[in-house]
Amino acid sequence: MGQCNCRKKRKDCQELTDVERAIETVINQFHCYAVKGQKEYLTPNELRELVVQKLPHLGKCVGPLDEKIECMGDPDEAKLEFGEYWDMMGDAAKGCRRK
Amino acid sequence: MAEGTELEWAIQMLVKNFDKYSSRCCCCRKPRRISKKDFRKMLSCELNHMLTDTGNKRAADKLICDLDENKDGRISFEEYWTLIGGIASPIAHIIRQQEQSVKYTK
Repeated sequence: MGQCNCRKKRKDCQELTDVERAIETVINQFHCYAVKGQKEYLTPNELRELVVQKLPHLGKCVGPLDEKIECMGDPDEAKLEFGEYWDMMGDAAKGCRRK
Repeated sequence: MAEGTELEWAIQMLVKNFDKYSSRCCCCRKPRRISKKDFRKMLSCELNHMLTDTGNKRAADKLICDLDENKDGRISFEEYWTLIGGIASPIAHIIRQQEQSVKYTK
C-alpha cells in the first residue's frame, strides 16, 4: 500500500473550486486506504498507515493514535466509518489552526 | 508547511476557507465564527458544484439552523467542519458506488 492509484479525478475537475478539490482529496484518501474487506470502513491497520503516510506533519494533532485504535475495540473487527475519519481530520485541522 | 502531503494540503485548504469567511465578533476574544450571511456567500462561492441548490436560500437556512448547535446564529469551526463532513459523506458513498459498478461492468 502507500502507492495510491486513486487519483483519478472526476471529469469536471477543472471547474471545481479549491474547497471542493480539498473535500474530494480527503474522500479519495479514505477510499485509497479502505481496501480490505468492507470498503466503507478503515481497519485499525489501514488507519495507522493513512495517518503515518499521509499526515506526517499533522498526525500529532490527531492525538495518540494507539489510544484511538484501542478505542476502536477488537483489532480484527474494529472499523472506522467515514464520519469518524472525518472527525479525526477535524482534530488535525484544529491542530493546524493552533499553529 | 512547505512540503505537506496532498491530504495535509486539503485539510489546510479547508481551514483557510474558514478563516477567509469568519470574523471575530467586535472586541471580544471569542473564537472566530462565520455569520449566516457570510456562510451563505461561502456556500455559493466555494461549494457551488457540490451543493447544487445553494442558490436556494431556504435550503441554506435550514442547513445553518440544523448546524448551529448553540443557536447563536454564527457558525463555529466545529460546526463548519461538521457541515463539510455532512456534504462529504454522501459524496464519498456515491464515489464508492460508482467504483463498484465500474468493477462489475468490466
